[in-house]
Amino acid sequence: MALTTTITKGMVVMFNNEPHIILDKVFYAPAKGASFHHVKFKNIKTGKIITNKVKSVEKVEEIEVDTKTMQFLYSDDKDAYFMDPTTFDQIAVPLEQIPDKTNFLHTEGKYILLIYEGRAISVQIPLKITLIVTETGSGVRGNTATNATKEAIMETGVKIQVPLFVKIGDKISINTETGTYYSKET
Amino acid sequence: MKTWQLLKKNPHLFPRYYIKEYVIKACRKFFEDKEYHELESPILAGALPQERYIDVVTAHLGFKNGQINQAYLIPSTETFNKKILAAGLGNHFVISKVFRGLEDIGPSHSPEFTMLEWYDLGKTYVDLMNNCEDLINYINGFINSKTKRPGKSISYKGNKIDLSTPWPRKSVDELLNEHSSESLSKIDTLESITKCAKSKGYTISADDDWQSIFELIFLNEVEPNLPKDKPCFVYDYPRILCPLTKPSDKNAAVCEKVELYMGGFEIANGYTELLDADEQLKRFNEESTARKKLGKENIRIDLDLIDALRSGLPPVAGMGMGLDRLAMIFADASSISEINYFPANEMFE
Repeated sequence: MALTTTITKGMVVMFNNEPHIILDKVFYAPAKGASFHHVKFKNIKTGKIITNKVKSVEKVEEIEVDTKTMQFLYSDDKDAYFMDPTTFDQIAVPLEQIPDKTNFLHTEGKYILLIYEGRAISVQIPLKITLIVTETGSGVRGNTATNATKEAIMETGVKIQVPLFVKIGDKISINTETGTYYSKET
Repeated sequence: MKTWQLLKKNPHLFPRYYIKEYVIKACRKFFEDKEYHELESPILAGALPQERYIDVVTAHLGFKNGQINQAYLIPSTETFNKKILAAGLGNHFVISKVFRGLEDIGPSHSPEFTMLEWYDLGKTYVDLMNNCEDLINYINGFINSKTKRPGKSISYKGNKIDLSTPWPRKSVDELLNEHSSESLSKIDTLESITKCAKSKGYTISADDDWQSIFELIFLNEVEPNLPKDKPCFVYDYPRILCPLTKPSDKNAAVCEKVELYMGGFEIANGYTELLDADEQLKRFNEESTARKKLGKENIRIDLDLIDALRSGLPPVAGMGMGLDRLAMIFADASSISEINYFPANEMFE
């Protein structure tokens, strides 16, 4: 059993008697009140996502899952395909298991997959990734002290707002949680 | 990368960080124009009001004379405000750093944050709500003038928050009825609230007290349903949740406390202050006993505050507002770490 306060994103636990993966957890307490955690659970069997505020002192049962580091190959309309770099075994992960994040998968990239009862239930995308800019305009040169940005398209197809000085071919790091520009790699 | 390094590399991000500066300046100007005094509060205290769930941050003073050596970093300035009100300072405000011991750092929680508190003589929590509407609209106007953005509404995480007044005002009981089909009078004992929570499928243990069960229901069923398109006041909280608040004249089970919600966050908390010294001491003792039961650190009771109340505190209402969260909303940021140059998560990672 683990206390709610010690569970982390990506952990698999029993919640309401069903296996759930923790998609997100943030600390939350009402002013001068008891401590809670705002937890987003995803039911592994049904895919249903629920958000609950759970008491810090509550205990949950942690479930053992396997993890595998795999290389991303490609994706189609339904699935993303990964390969085990040592055995060359391939595995298909339904895109709905990687909500909003498929645009951050790039070939060469290695990702950690969680395997439960032989099925991949989640792909962990690093919080920060580096991608190459493949398309962007020159941008209107303005006062650089202001918030001016322009759109840029990355090698994976994802569109990101970037500062005006970013050029095609630049490597930039991106926050995958928010889908926002973080910094330019030098 | 630390925020200062991020800013050095990306100076275009600076304007987001200016918002907190504008919020603080606007608050000061708003109260100065109303001729309120500004109190500079100590942040080290030798004793504190008792509140059961507060985890206090302590400091070691290093005196060598054998006297009190442990100081508390204040969780709010309230005790100093009330003592100086008893002395006769009158209407005043304070902008201060305050501290809370936390299990963790969250997008809306930092162990150190900036709080505005103001006190209106002869007023009640209803007046606080009016004043609050005026203040936030004033801050909005101030930020608009600095950033050249127009209007009486702000955009927060894709939702428009309309600041035009009046804002919705709902009692806790009304909200429970609306979103949870419950009423306070039916869940007023530990037994009845436990039964109610269990029937809703919550896991309740024998250690849970009334407050934590109430908060479990309120946070899960009411809070997510509060209006998002306007700020909203929630008022008349159960007595047990407000140890420094005057009980309501209409219903002794609740106290005249109000909270302001904006963009899904608790922004401010105010009440018609409790003036009765004996009642205050009784509540401090209740809270102190509850702390022991919860296994919380024993905190010296602020008896000086009881003396101040006994000497006569004029009727007054006071409100505390978290300026980091407010700046976060005005800056359309998802965490208070995105509006502070030196966020806690960078200091203590």
